[in-house]
Amino acid sequence: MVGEKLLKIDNVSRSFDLRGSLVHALKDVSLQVPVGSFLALIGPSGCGKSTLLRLLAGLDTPDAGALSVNGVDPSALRKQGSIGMAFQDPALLPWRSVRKNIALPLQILKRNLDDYSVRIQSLIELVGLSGFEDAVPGQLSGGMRQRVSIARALVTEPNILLLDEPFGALDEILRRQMNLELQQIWMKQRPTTVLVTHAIDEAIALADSVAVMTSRPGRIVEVVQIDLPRPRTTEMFRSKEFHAIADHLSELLFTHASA
Amino acid sequence: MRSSTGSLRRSATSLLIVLVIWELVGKLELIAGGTFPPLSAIFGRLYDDRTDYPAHLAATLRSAGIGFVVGSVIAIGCGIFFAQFKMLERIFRGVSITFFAVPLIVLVPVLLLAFQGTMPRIILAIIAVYFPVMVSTLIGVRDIDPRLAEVIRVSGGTDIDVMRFVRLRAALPSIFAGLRVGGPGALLGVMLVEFGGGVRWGLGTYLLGSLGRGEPARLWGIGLLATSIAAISYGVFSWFGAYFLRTNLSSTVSMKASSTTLDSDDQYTGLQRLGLGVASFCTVLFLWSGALRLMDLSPVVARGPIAVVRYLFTGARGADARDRLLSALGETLPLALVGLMFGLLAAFVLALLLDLFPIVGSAFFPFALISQSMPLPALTPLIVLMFGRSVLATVVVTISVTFFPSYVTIAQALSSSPQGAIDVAEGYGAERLQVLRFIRLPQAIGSLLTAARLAAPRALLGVMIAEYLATGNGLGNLMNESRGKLDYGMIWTVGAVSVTFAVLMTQIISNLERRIGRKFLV
Repeated sequence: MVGEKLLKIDNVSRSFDLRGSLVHALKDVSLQVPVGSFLALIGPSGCGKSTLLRLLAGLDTPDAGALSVNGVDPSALRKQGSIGMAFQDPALLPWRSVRKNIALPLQILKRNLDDYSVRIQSLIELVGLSGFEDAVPGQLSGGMRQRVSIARALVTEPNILLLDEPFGALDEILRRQMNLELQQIWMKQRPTTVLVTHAIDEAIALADSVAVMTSRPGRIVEVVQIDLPRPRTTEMFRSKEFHAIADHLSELLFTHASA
Repeated sequence: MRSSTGSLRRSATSLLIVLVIWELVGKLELIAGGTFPPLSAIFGRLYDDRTDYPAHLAATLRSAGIGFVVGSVIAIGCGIFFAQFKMLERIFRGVSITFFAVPLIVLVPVLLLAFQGTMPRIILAIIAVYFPVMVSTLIGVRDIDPRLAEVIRVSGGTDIDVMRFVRLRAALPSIFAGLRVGGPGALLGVMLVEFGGGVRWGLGTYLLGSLGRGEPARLWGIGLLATSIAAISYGVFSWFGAYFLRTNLSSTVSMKASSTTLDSDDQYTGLQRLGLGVASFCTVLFLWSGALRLMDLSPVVARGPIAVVRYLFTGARGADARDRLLSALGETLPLALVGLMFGLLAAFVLALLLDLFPIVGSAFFPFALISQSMPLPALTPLIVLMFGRSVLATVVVTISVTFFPSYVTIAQALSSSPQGAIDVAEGYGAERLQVLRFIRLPQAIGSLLTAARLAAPRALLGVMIAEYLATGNGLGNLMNESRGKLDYGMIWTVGAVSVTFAVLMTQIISNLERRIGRKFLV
């Protein structure tokens, strides 16, 4: 019998040695979501959500447990170019133009850039940066830079998209706008996506399921399914259903934060 | 620093004022009985001598150019290599610090013994270029925004990809900052060997020959020419550096303000530190002996570390050698310390004063920036001409080689106080003087030590050059005398001892710096 295709996090623990004392960033964390779905990780600072994302990216390895997507472990996925990632800081190479920043992962994977010029151009259009192809990051606003970094994360047509508070540094208005744009992009390509965020509304707006995490030690308290229809719209932010889920999530967050 | 058209105009104005004063002072023979000629006389003489210059200039520039290119390639290669292999960097740290601290002039007799023709000049230029370029490459390649490296790794890249796509490009401003110092360094190295004699052509030869004839206008002409070459090379590399720095900045990716020091040893235990220290010390001795063996010199001429110890302690004339060495040290070291102190003090006071009068400060800063890279020791003959063959001349040389770099370091620290802290003070109605006292000054204290660390070897070099060329005292003279007497043991001993003291001085200051730095770092 062939099982469902899954992103699996299986009893993962990771601790750090901070000046002699052991900090359990993650302790026995397990979670499964179907491939192609959108998962949000939400929780207070220090609950290990960014650590979990780094483990999924293959940038770090767990002390115990295993992670896999469709049975393949993260470092193998990374080397295939199956992972796209965007951080809170756009982390663009300041000396490269928008187009060349987006092309960077292709160069690293030694792919022929000529085959991708159409794709790069359509990504630039998708994130709304037509006309800025040759601009360098210093000439762009914060929101525009963040869109470049999302386009870069998508350029290899990744099966897995990892987002570490990509809109954390933006103002509230711009953030909501970017949330809806990201949803558009995601619905077209459907990569398995994991989003780390502080913001409850962002998690609800984007995710199929939200894992609420808590700190000391970092663990998952509950996974909440978001059954709102897509595409989700700005009106939805004012709906009763939205607020009901938001109340539930904040109750979970604050109960465990004070415990 | 701020380089608006306004400050450019102020700099141009103040340059003009300086030139006018120079001309007047020279015409009226106000300083040292005519040894400070007016500009018109200097340029007139330069014109009269125009047929002499090309051969001298070509000889110097050729050696300096070859040395600069070879030295830069080696240094950039080593910097990249050391950034990848930290343990090797730590073990070669002693060698690096030796190259930083060595008073270049002690290498002159040794190089002249070992090599023929233009080789000594080229090698000293390479040595002068190596340290600043190696360290700035190492720091530039090492200190990148870690998130940029993660972007590469997430996309399936290796360390080599990080080097290729991020580190090398991100390091360019830093590498050019090193080259900017290395260019004038190469010129200085070549001129120092030319002072040592034995060659017919070269600016240093010309300068030294003219010192004997006492022709102020020609001496100044040569000095100004050498200075302009250094300033031009400084300017060109600054321009490239500024260009790459501009293109490296975007307001979200914060390029970490690069530290000017090598890694500290905080991560190691006491015993490990001791081991690393011993290892890096032994590497220096090993390279010294190894280089001698490679050059295949007679053991009478070439002395390794063991031969030097024997010469001083078990040799037949060891006691006599020790006496001469100690009395020379007694003359040289106090002068170096006094000159260093006055140079630092003058730099600190002036930096504070000019911070209170920012308009004057921003006009003066470009001068200081260029002057710090001038081959000032090569101007020693001019100072000797003005102040005579005296202790005063030695002190003036030492102050002048330490003042400018110290001023630049301190002024930059004073002006780099966080704007937030200044806003808080001014929000409570602080006057300029109070901002200086409560915010800028405490921040600049650390920079005083940084300045001292950078200037200490220069102070020793300044004293030794003055002693060697003019006063006939101290280590500089002892080295020169020993050359005449073919006392090879003493030549190597003076070299080893002066390097040791220069390294000790920088290490003591750098320890203090680290201790204070730890206290103030949040």
